[in-house]
Parts: sequence; structure tokens; C-alpha cells
Amino acid sequence: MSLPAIQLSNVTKTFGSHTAVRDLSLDVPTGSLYGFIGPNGSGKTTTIRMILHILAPDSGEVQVLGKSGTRASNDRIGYLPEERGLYKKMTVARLLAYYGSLKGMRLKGAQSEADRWLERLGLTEWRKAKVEALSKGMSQKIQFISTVIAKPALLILDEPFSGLDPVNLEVMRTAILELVAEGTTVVLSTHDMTVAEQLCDNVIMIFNGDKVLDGSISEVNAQYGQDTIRLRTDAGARALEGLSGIEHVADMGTFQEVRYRGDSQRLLQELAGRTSVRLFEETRPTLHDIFIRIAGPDAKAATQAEASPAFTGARQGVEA
Amino acid sequence: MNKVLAIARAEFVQAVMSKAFIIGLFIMPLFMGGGIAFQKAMENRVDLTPRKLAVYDPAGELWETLEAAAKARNEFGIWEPVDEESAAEGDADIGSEPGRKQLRPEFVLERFTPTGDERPDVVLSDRVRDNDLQGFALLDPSIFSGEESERPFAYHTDEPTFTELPKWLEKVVNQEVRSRRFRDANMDQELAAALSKEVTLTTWGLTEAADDGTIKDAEKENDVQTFLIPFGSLMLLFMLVMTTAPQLMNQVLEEKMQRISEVLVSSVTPFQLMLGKLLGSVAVSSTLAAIYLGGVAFSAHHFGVSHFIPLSAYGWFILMMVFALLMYGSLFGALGSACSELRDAQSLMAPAMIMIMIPIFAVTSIIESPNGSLATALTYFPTATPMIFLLRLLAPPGPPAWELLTAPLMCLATTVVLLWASGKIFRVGVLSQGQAPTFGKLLGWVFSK
Repeated sequence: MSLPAIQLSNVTKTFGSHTAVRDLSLDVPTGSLYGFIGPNGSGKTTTIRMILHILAPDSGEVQVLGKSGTRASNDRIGYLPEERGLYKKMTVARLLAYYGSLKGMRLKGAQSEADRWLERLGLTEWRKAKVEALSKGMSQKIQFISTVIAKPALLILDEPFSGLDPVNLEVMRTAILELVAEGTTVVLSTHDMTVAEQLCDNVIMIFNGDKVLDGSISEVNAQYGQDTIRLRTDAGARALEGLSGIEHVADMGTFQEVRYRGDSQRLLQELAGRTSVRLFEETRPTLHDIFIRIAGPDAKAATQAEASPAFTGARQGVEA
Repeated sequence: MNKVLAIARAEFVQAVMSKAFIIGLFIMPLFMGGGIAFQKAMENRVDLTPRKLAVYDPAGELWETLEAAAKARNEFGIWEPVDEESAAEGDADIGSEPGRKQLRPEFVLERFTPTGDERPDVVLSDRVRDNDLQGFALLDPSIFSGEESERPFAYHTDEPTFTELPKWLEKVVNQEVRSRRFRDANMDQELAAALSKEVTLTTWGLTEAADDGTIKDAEKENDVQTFLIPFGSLMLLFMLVMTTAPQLMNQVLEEKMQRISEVLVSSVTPFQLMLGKLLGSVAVSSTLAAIYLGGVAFSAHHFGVSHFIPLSAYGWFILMMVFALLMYGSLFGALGSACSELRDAQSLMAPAMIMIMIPIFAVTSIIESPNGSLATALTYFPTATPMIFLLRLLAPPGPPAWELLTAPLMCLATTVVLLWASGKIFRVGVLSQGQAPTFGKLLGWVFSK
């Protein structure tokens, strides 16, 4: 069995009195597409920076591509940060060659690889344009090329799809999946739970510096059981007012997702007595729902109060 | 090292291909050439409005002399002969007459006699305030008697910056007083003038006697050598630092604000990034310096003064320039990395700017006494060494031989310490966000693990 691409063992990082990451252990298998999810300020970026050896952990061990505690493997890592960093005054070709050379590529090699990617993502004609002349979507694709130009073994992508239109999103998604198929390990940090659910083999969620989820999507879903009911009624969300056993209602507009404790048939009968029920489906909670349960306003309030039965339950459920 | 060079190359190419570099390249020649051209153009453009002077000479002993001197000056002393063609091209009618052009304003004198018991200074002061007079002179009879008097000879005006009139007045009065004294002492005035003629002093260098007995005569001191070369070199170095160091700070800050730094430090260490940027800046400044020094060498050869600039001067300039750029570049780069907003960077920049300015503040004192205690002490003020030592090297007679070793060593030590400290600040600063740190906090970053 091959070594994990990333192995964090009991890693802790603090900034002054604030603990950004607490006792985090994680194995990212080689060749997998791993999702990092969590709200802003939860510790994702700190974790990524420790993986890149930009930050050193206070305690614990960070091993990346078989190397521990050094930047030796950084040339084999591609990093796409959430906030794009491109030189606006540089031409696309020069920028890509420059970023390639910083990964140890020879200039000619970087140029030909840049040309290959520009063609693949339909940007060949922008080769000599200055970055400032590109649209947001095009800039994003250029940033992506600058990340993959050196053929990294490990790719860390922080919100790679933000700001992309559906067509470009599809192009990028295909490119990422092809890289995974070629053996590249991809870490995908995102707030978009749908993307994480669709693309990732495994997800890890960090909240307030703690790991609160880690496993495959199906494992994570299984941990939360089948307590969600998706329904559509003529009265909309108002049909649910005053009903007992309902813990949470997510109003999606045309339908509602309800977390219900009790006999679902009883709920169906009660709803049918109030309004016409068009859809009633028992389902597992989506990753989005799980995210909200862990990191939503209720959970935050519970964290601030340091003890909340619902939140504690969720945490215990995950960690069990 | 390859990555450092890759960063330096990218910085260099990006900089020299920018409009700012082209503009920067011409700024100094434009400033200098423009300054000279402006002065030349303004040379003859003086205010030719006649200046009216009232003279209160109760004894009446100087009035006629003054009146005659003013008349002679107005007739002959303020004009320059011009040929007909130039006169025709002249754009001002005022001050132009066929065959000659007025260069200075006329002095129009008026003898003042008070009426009744009015005080001359009160009446005349009012007329100055009313712009009727440029000023007035009060001549006390004690000028000739030699009696003690509080104000034997006074000039009153509300525009003391116009000094031509009082200087002229002083000269004319003194000439007359002197002649009167010679006459009263029954001395031949012409003989006295011949006997009291001043001898002109010229300044020369030192004569050198070689071992074989040959003697190399001293050379006459020249302003080019004693002032222009050291001062010009200092200004060139100052300009190169000013076009590089603050630019580097802005660049680092901009990259940080645009999150480019985060991408870069995932590929290179912060120190490699800083070093690459510094080397790129040094390369840009060296290119500018090569162009300017080439121009200096060509001009010196053209005007026959190249013997005043030995080849070693170019070498010392380049060495001190590299030290200065590395010192100030690392300092400003570190400050840029520590800030998240331009406003914060500018407030942190002020103390660093003072360090650059120290040699400029001290330039006159150092040229006057290049090996004096002030010059020597300032040479060993860490960040001032490159500029001040360069100034002392080029101002005759040059520093003592031991300083040719100690000053470069001082530069080297300062550069290493600044690179180390800036690297530490850069490492923390380049990823930090939020409020600008205090100097205390920056020191904390320097000594953090």
C-alpha cells in the first residue's frame, strides 16, 4: 500500500491565544480527491499552509509526499489560493513561464507546457495578452494553469470554481478529474457542498480548529442517519408551523427539507390534513445540511454557550 | 539559487520593460539639464522695474557722489551690448535699446529734505509701505567725523531680499569715505590704491617627488574635482536608491495585497523571494547606473576633464551602490511586507527615509572637511556608510588608507545584518494581514524563531 500523499499527525497551531488547528490528524490517500470543508476562519487555510510548509506546526508532524518537516516536496505541489494572485501587467505566456520556473522547470519546458494547457482550456489566443485584459473566468483558468503547469503530484485547490460560469466550471471540473485519473492527488477546499459531494472521494471538515468530520461521503451521510424529509406542499413552509417533532426546516423555495424526530407517517397524515402534499420523500441529509448542522448559527451559538444538547449530539454523532 | 535568479530575472525584465523605467531613465538628465536650461533661460529675465531710493543726507556731503554714481550706473553699468539681429529677436521692449540690452534695474535716487519737525524715517517708511520707494538711506554726518554713532549709515526697506541696491549703496559710500580719508591725510589716492591692491590666492594640490628624483608638479584645484564629482556622485547614488527602494516597498505591498505573495511562497521561501526581488532591483539600478556612468565618462572625455575621474572612482561607485541598494532595498522590502495598506507603509517609511537623507543633510560639512570628525563618525553610522564614504572617497584628499578596508567591511556587516533582519520580518509579514505592526512588534518578528 502506498504512503498517503499527506499525513498529519496530532498537529496543533496557535497564533497568540487563538488555536487555529487543534490536534489534527489526517491521511489523504495518494491519488484521491479529498475535500476540505468548513466555514471561514475554521482553520482550513492554516492547515493548507502547514501542508505547504509556509507555516510550521507548534506540535505534531506534517508529512507531504513522503517528506517530513521540509519544503523539499514543494516543487511537486501545486497550490491555487482562494484569492487569486496574478501579476496584472505581465503577459499570460510570461506569467506562466515564470510560475513554472519557480517550480524548478526549465524555461522552454514551462513555455511548452503552458501552451499545451492554454490550448486545452481554450485560451491560446490570449497567450500574449496582459493578465489585466482577461475576464475573471479567464484569469481563474490562467491561475489554474499556473498551478498545474509543473505537473504536481499533489494539487491543493482553494475554491477553484468560484466566479466561473457553468461552461467554464465544467471545463475546470473535467480538467481536475482528468488529473485525478492520471494519478494526481487533489485536495479541494470549498464552501460549495454540492461540489464537494459530487467530486470528492472523502471529505474532512474543520470547525473552530477541530476536525469534526472525516470520511467518505457515504460514511459521513451514514453517520447522520435517515432523518431528513424532503417535501412540497401547496402551503409551502407555512404548512409546517406548529407541528411537533420538527427540529429544523430548510426552506428551499419550491420545496422544504425537514429534520424530523418521530414517525414520518404521522407527519404525512398531519400535513395531508392541512394542505395538498405534492412530494414527500424520506432521505439522508445532504452535506450542505450536515455543514449547517455543525457550523450554522445554532451550532455557533451553542459553541459560544459552550454546551448545547443538539450541537453536542451532532459532534458526538460524528466522532462516534 | 536558480529560483532566486528566476525571481530576479522576472523582476528585472518586468521593470526595464515598463514605462516607469523609461520615464525614470530620463528623469535625472531632465532634472539636471532642465535645471540648467531653466537657469540659463531665467538668467536675463529679471525684474527691470526702476528701484527708487530716497537719501537723507543732512550734511549734504555724499548726495552728489551718490547721484553721479547712480547716473553712471544707469547709463553704463546695467547694459549688455547686443548685435542688431539679437536685438530684433528680443521679446521685451522694456530694457531694450538699439545695440544694447538692459540686464539690471535702474536705481533712481531722490534727495529727501524734511519739512518742519517731521522725522525722516517715519515719513519715508510710509512711502516705502505705499510702494513709492524701494527703500531709503539715512546718512549720519558722523560717517566722516569718525565719532561714535549708533547708526552712521542705515538702509531701510520692507524688502530685504533685494540686496543689489544696498550693496551698491554701501560700495559707493565706502569708496567716497575712503577717498575722503586719503585726501584728509594728504595721501596720493592712486598710490594708496596701488599699494593696497590685493593679491589673489590660488589653491593647488600637492607636489609629488618620485623615488627616481623626478618631480610631479602640483595641479591647480578645480571645482569639478573638489565639488562637482563628489557631490554629483552622491546625488546619482541617492537618486538610484530613491528610484529603487521605495519602489520595492510598493511592489512587495502590492503583491501582498493582490495575494500574489501567497502563491509565490508556496514555491519559494520568503527569504528566497526577498533576495530575488533585491537582486532584480540591483540589476535594474545597475542598468540605470551603467547608462548614466557611461554618459558621465563620455562627457568627461568630451570636455577634457576625464583625468579628474579615475577608473577606480567608477569601481567604488558601483561597490557602494550595490551595498546601498541591498541595505535600503531589504529595509524597504521588509516594511512593505509588514503592511497591508499603502497608508500604513507610508507612515513606516518616514524613519527609513530619514536614514537615506542623513548623507544629504551632511553633504556640505563633509565636502568642507572630508576627514573631519563629523565625516568620519557619520561614515560608521550603519546605513549612511555607502553614501558618505563615496563622498569622502571622491572629495580630495580622500580618506586614510585604513578606511579603504574598514568602510567596505562596515557596509558588508550592515548589509548582512539588514538582510538577516529583513528576511525575518519578511517571513512573518508577507502572510500577515490587518493593522500595521509597530516598530516594537517588528523587532519581535526579527528575534522570533
